[in-house]
Amino acid sequence: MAQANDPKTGAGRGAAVMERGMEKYLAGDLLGAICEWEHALTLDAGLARAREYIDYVRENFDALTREFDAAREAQRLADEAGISDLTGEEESFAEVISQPGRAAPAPLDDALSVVNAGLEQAGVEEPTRELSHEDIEFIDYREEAPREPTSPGRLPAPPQAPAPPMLEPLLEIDLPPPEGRLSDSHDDPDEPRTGPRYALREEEAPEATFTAPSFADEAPTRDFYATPLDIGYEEMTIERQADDGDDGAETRDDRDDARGDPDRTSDFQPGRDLAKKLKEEEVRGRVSELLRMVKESADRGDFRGAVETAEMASAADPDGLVSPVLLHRHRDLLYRVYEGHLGDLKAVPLVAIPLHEISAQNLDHRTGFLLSRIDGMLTFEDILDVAGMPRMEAYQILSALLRKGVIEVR
Amino acid sequence: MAEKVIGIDLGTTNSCVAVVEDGTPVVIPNRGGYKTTPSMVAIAENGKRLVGHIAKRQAITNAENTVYAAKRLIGRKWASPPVKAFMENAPFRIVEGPHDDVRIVLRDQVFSIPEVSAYILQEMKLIAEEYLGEEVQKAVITVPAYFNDAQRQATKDAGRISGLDVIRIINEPTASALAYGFGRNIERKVAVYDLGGGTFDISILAIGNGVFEVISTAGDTFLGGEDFDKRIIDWLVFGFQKEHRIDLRKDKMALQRLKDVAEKAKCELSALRETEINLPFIISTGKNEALHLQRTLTREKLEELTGDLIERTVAICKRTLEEAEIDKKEIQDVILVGGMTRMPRVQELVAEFMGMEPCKGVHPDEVVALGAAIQGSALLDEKNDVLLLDVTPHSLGIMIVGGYFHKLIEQNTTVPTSKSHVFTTVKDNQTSVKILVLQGESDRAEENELLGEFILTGLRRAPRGEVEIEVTFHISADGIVSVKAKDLETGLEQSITVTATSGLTEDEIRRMIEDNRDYMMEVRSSQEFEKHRQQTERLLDEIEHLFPRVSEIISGSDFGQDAVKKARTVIDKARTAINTKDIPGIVESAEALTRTLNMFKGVVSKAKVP
Repeated sequence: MAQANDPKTGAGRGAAVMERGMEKYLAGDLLGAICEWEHALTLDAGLARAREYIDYVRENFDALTREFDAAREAQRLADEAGISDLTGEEESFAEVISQPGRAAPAPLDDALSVVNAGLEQAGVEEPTRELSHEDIEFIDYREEAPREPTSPGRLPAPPQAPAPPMLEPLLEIDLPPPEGRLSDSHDDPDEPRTGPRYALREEEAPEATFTAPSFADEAPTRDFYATPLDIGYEEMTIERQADDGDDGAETRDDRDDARGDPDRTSDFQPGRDLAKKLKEEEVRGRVSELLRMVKESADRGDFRGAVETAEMASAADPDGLVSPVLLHRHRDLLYRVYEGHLGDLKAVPLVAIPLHEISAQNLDHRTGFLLSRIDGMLTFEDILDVAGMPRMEAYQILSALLRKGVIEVR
Repeated sequence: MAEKVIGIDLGTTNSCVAVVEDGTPVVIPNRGGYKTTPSMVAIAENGKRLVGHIAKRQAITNAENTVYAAKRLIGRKWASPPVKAFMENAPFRIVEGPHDDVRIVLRDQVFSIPEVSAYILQEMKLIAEEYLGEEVQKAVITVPAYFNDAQRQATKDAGRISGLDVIRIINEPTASALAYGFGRNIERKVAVYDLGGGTFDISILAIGNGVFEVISTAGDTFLGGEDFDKRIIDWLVFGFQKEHRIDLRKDKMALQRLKDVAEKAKCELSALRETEINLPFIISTGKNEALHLQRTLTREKLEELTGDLIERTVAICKRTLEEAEIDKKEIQDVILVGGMTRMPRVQELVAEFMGMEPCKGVHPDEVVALGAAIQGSALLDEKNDVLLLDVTPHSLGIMIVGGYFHKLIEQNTTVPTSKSHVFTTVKDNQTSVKILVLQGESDRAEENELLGEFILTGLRRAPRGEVEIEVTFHISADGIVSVKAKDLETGLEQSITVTATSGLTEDEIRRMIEDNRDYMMEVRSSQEFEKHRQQTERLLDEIEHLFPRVSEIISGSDFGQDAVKKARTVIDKARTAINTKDIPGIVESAEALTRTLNMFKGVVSKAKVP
């Protein structure tokens, strides 16, 4: 009999993917989390909890996003101001978002104030005016007022959130000295810098049990909320071990060596991280630009053009999550665009080409399934109901079929 | 205008609605042009209720939230064997109701079976209303002849929940015979062979001088067209597995397509010798390519795959005739009912067994609904002298000493009927007797269904066997059973009328009626909103499209600036109305938008003139 936790079974894989989703959620990656939970559902349709999580995050998506963004921004500002040396005394970003009554600053306002302050510090003489919102191209297509979380300043815990795996590094490690502007009291480069010490209880480590952290009712502990910040170090440790060709057991000596060897230390950190971030920024910029074009096309009534641009935005970041996050945030715009392209959703689509020609098309089985629902009786709206796939995917498929001339509306 | 009564064949897999128009019974097609509608109900992910064809199109991909064959469960007790048997294969959740009845859970909502059936009846009502262009209130609904009182009552309750006044419940074979004998003065004994989507029934009826009498009925409640579909699916799946080593049944989307195509192929083979089954992109291999399923199914192959199923129906016919002690030679006509009887092999075997060609004058899918419509029309027409004589599907009697069941009215007795029997006391000085009214075929009282009980008191104290009590059973034409016990010496009597219960209380039924009404109002309101939203969105898109050009042309003047500002206000107002789902606001905005659009078009066209 298939065991629920057997990784070979759908249920076992589903549970593992569920966990990954929770990790992403705790890291503030809401859409990534949704993707994982949806994936979990496809592996094991019986994972009711995945459905609950998805519904919860979807319902509170905007509020949660604002909270996480504000917390990240607060962390970034704190980092830039050199007040964060990860000594354990600073507020983790999760603490920021979970403090009752604390008003999170609007990210854009903060960014502006930082830039303005920077200009001042840089000695720009007599700036004619301070930068304002108008100076920054900011896309926000949401027309409705952003929803406030049910309890301002508090982030409700997702239903039965799992305790995050890898709460602490496997072994006690010292952080390498930070690069760039973040040097604080350690002005002497020769003096070995000691970062925060992460006491580790190996036997306690990473059992991925499903116990819910209460964001609202309990003061978050450092151990728990450190996860999003620690994960980079965790990854780096793994990478380094692989580079060394070690058997994976990192010793105290190894870590001492690392501290004494500046070249090795530089392997660790920032380069790759920065490159990744830059790439993400680049994708974000490109997708945002494409979305702006989508809106422009839609406003002009050019829905076909808007759909084609939206497809480009979808394809901009096939393996990453930046594009899906942005597309998800602007799903109302995209729904409007696809609806505009399909036309009246009460219309009944028909297959426009003979069956033997359909076989010659380059389609996948999900498209094949949706195509088989087009029977001359069901309307677009009905087809969306019987599609058995996410609405966005169904829209994309129908729209693509319409553009290819495989289906038509008479 | 005369009030219309619709006739509804509430089938296990498909339902059909008919009405008598200008003296002629006609079947009403649904929106898709089909004369039958799948008896399926589903709840979509967004909470929308899907009924009929649309529910069927997602029945496998959303199996846990799609109810099919609710008729098998209607009016059944939770602990009854048919419910347990059904539960073994049902993909949706079945739970025990508060009154030992059966309930279904769909997306965390609990539905009673009459509620689910009500949604199907409501769909049939809507189909009729769209066709007739007027509201329909009254209906005659058909049920299998073997349905007991609780099942009939539950069907009536379903009708009530759907907003229908069910003026009569009639047996399916009776309805078929009515349609068969409509407009003809015939006198003969006929067999009704009904092979539908999920069940098989065989009934023998005597028709004469406007009287339709069911003589005997039997069948198999788990044998029908779906079993034929399954055989085709298996054949396709095994063929594909052999070729590609992929089991298509593991993919819900593939299985849904297989089910659809199997049914289609089966129907096509009733007219063609062979049919092409073509399912492009049935499954992805994981190597960025999708496979196609292509096969040719011949009629011979289908007959080979399903031969044993047809044989089973013939065996049941044989047994039924033997049990009813009817010689095949007495049967003068065979009426074929149900879509499966269009299969040539079925017709051949029936003809072979009965020794005659089946009647071709009635449409197998429509005949039951037509009969119900004829009966509905007759009930409103006082001059009409059609008399339906149904039979009791089960024996009726009382419990006697030792826990035995004494039958007063035998199974298949034509109703209306009345029977009496005299009983005596079993103890000395017995002053009261308890009458337990039972329905069933077992000799043991406990194995039959208890319909009701009452006590006759005030008997004379006397040695046992001396006091005589006459018990009389009466069944009316409507199938209502009343039982009377009379002390023959004193004339004292006590009686009850057996009220069948569907498993729902009156309060529950009222709440369900209200819920259903609310849901329908919500649906209509949402449809209306969607209609106006789309119209308004189109106007908004056109205006936004022209906006930059218009601004450019007219914003040079104060008036122009003002006009642009006003137009923006109109747009904002419309968007707010859409966002708040304010239908009157949207309608009002649409008018203002139309004026704005006309103004914009005027400005642009004038600007084009040199």
